[in-house]
Amino acid sequence: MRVMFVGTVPPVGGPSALAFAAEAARVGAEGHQIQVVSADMRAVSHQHARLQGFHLPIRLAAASRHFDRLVLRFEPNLPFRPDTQRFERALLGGLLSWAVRGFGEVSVWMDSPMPIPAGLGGRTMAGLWAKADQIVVANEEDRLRMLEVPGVGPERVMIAERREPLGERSVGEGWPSAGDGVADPRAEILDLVRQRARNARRQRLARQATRRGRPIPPEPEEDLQHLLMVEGDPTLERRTLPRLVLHRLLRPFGVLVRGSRANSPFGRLVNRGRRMLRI
Amino acid sequence: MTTSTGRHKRVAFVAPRYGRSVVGGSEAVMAEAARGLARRGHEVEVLTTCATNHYTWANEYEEGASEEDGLTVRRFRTSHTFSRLVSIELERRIAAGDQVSALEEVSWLNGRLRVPGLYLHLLAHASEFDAVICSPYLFWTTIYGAAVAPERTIVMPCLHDEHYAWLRLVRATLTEVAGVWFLSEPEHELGHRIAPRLSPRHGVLGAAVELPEAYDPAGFRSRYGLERPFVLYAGRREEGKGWFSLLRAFEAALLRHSLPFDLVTAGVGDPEIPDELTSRVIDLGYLEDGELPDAFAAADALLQPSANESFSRTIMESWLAGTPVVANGAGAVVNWHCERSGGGLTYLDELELGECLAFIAEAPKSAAALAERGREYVLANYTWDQVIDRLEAMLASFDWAGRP
Repeated sequence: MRVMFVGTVPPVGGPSALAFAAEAARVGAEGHQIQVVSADMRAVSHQHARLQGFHLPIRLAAASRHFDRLVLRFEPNLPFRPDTQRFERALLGGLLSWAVRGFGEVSVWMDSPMPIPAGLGGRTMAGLWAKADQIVVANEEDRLRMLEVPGVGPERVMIAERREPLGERSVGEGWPSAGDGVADPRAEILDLVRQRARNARRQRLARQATRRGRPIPPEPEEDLQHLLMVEGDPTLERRTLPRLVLHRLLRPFGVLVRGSRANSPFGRLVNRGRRMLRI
Repeated sequence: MTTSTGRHKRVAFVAPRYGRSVVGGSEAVMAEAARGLARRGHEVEVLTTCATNHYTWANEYEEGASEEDGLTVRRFRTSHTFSRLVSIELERRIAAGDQVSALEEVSWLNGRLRVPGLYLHLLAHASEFDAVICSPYLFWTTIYGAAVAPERTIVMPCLHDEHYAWLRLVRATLTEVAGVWFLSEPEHELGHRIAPRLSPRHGVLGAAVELPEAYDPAGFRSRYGLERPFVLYAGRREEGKGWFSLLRAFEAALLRHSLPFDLVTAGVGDPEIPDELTSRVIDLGYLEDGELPDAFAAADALLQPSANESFSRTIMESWLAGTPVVANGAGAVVNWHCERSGGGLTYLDELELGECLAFIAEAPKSAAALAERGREYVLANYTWDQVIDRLEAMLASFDWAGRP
């Protein structure tokens, strides 16, 4: 049997990923042909692919011709991002129900807490629950919640076998070490924490702006990241300017530079910010 | 009997609540400081109420004197006869930062609870004590207790930067008492802002936590059936302590990261866990004192979501147990501890909390190394011997000729 596993596997993803990988290994050891597809580039999977949002049902529908069985893990950001809107959830649920119909067998693994949409979203996922031969949940509380979903009987719902963590799971994580000899590991770790949170915030802002058809707003903390250096003018030398102000200065600055008859420029603008300055 | 700083003193500790079942930082510091002074030969009495619940102030203990932990504890009944409607309206206005008159401040204070018996006892006996130590700032027992004999009263205010702290009553108390015992440098700075003419005899005496003889994390997990890794919140489950914000942020972190942790909580108050989180949030209710150190040791990290801390005992206890701390960076005091120690992570929103938890999950050895820095910091600064030394020094600077 050809079996497709979709979800994150170690070294990232915590104990749920460990249990998911163990299931893939077990199925592989039975002689089936397996392929693991993960969205996380750090995961040790056969394939890495974009799986978020509508990419997932499209990929599943395409793969259903080549695989007999699907093992799909519902995990953070797969398929629902935390800020996925109600309508998008409903549409995605419907597309997933449609996309899995081509597989002979379907198993669904649910991380806890389970991202089961209520209302319309819940109804559009009815096809997925009906198709699933097996629904694997993380714990007893989630098993009981799953049984509340219309049409899901206890014979199809089971609790995942718990896997112990592998100890230090630093492979591929990129966190600074805090061991001996590191002067201020807290500052380095917090820098990375803030940077990752900023990236997530930026992605969220971008998604919101795209949904509303508006330009992506600048982030307040990034608004003071550009350094203006104008040689020969001490009043303007080494002043940090808000990004938007700097953008407004660029055009007159360019006019001045072009209008200058001097062979060497009288000033230089230096971008010291974290983001590219579009000129 | 003499001590390192001179003859023994007679000291009264005035606290709104006292007892084994009371959950509260200032109450714990008062109780341990009282026992610490008694161990050094000082004569110590605790004057408190019959209440344990700081919402209802219902009288649960018997009124009268008793011996507890080697100390004389005198309990007095609480009274509430003021119109609750008026009191609630004043509470709303003060909490919202509205201007209220001096008379309204007094009305508000009297409307929460009163302990007339304690007040009368102090009127009759305050002069028999070398010092009367009152805490925390927001309670009737402190404001009225300090007014009886301000020349021999030390207030341990446990200030937070909140609207209540800026009431005239609080400013007057901090100005007029003989001494002020701050728990941290940020609280000290806040004290100066609130009361520009702060009592000249004040200092950062700090607080401390007891060092357990041993930890039993495996036993704790087994006793409470905790099979999965967990992060811990220990304290009162109320909005003022950031509990409900933490629940929301933890849920967001779970939806963004594959976190292995459950959130285990211990303390008083209804945790009001939403249905969708019941599989990941476990309420242990109130834990006996002896259980808490094991809880800290068993956790993968302590979460401290409160921005209103004047010391934060739980982060000290957590570091002592070798457990990393992830704290709300909006609180000046926990920020100060985390920065000074180099041992705690701070977050400013749910995204940063999620990343901090991801770090704890993915790099446990580095997280443990951070906790070790925290442990060194606690042992270097916050043992009871050090705090009692500083308290004795403050007491020695008071020498009232009028003492009988």
